[in-house]
Amino acid sequence: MNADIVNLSLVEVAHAIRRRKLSSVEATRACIARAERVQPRLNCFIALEAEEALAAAKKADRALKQRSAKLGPLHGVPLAHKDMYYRAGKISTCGSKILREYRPGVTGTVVERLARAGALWMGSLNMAEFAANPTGHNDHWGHCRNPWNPAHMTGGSSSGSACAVAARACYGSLGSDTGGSVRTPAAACGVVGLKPTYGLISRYGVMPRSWSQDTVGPLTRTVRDCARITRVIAGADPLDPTCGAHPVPNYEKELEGGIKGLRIGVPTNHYYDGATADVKRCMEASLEVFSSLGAQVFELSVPDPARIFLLSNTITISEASVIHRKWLRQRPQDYSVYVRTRIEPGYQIPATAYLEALNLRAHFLAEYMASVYAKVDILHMPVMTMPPPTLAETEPRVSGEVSGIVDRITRNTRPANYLGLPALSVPAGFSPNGLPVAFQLMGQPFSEALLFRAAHRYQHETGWHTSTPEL
Amino acid sequence: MSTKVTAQMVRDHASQLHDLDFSDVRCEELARDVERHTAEIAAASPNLDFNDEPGRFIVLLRSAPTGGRKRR
Repeated sequence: MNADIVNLSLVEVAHAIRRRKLSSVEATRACIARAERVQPRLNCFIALEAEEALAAAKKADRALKQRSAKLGPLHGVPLAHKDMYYRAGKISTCGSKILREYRPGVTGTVVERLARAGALWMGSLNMAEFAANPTGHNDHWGHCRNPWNPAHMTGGSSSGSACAVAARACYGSLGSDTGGSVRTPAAACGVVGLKPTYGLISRYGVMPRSWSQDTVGPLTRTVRDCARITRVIAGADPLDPTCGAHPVPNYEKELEGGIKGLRIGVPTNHYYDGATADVKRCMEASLEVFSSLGAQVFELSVPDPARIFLLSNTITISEASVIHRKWLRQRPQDYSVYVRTRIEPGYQIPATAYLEALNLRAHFLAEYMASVYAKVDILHMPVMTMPPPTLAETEPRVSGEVSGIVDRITRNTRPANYLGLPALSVPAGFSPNGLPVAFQLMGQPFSEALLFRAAHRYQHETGWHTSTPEL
Repeated sequence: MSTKVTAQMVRDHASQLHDLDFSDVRCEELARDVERHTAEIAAASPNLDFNDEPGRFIVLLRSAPTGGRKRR
């Protein structure tokens, strides 16, 4: 029975609870049991708040019985989030040793919006220390492990989010994406992950990694689930000056349209460099599915992805060096080599170079709008050019190995952060040894509805998102 | 403009401006890494205009068409 419950999608469980075919307590108990079972093997939770979640579930069931409140679209649904979403007075470790006892004084806007929609907080999930590595390693809280094969990386930095959703320990999760931190773990663990347009979702009350590129994004098993969470959390927030009053469509309603005539662009440069045969095979197969649905596939060259990658990284390391300046001077030993190594170059980047990297963003975005999105509606490319490597292969032995590992994993994800564009990671198959492979769809600013629709149509035709890891 | 970054520059900059101390090996690594980034920016910077400012990016992002023509 528990297996049946945890295998429901987020939208299905929300529907079952609302129709009183399943209670929130039953759903929450099933997720807690699953979380307790997989935790020793996968280490996806930093804090499982079982008692609090069950108390909230009972309250949700009472509200349903009494119809005492207007029910939100996530009423009674247990979620768990990357441990960097602030709740006033509650610990947010940010995956670090330094903030092991940190209790922020504010609650994140997205946390409040999820609660208003009826979602339950089941626990805080493992993540890369300060969201600063793309593999899922964590020296302080233990490495998070891939549910498809625990010897392999989950991807990061939203490692616990992707892992817990794939392992059926919760129905959805918030991650964050500054250079690929939602999409990479989503791809590596076989779930859906959205990096939204910069400015669509509030960053208020969320740990900063790089203010200019940080985004909040959901990880779920289906595109429809992702669309539902996105609608709940998106929209203007006076507490985040970058989050403006752009209209938020009913993404779920817009899933129902077709994609006949959709123009899909496949980059001929950069994105397939070094791609394995397995990844190429999955990409080709997914494009055939889109073609069969009436989409038109075009090959095209896109402007300067390698340069954009470095410009993005310049901004990240410069801003991170400011955020961590005090602790890096006072207690450098409390950072892992991975994280310290990634912050240190920021102190050497001239302010002029940092500001030029910021100023160049508008130029490159304009160039993409004119030379790419005038020709195609969305871009399609692999999230990673290889199936997820092992934890051992991506553990740097010395500081000099860090940038090579990071570059290899994030080369295809970082450009969307620099350009501010939305990108959706979608499971697209498995390697012969059973590891997930994913494509990402990258669209024009605020075109999340189109990305969701295309990916939903793809999921409707394929079954990758229903595959369940044996645990 | 020369974009050469040396280990000595990194060492001096770190110690004098940031009160940070790096090993010789680390200074060499940082010099290579920083030069890689600054050289790329120098190569791209001729695109910049006198009137550019970082906020222009947000304006462009918000004003861009969202795509998604109506489809059957």
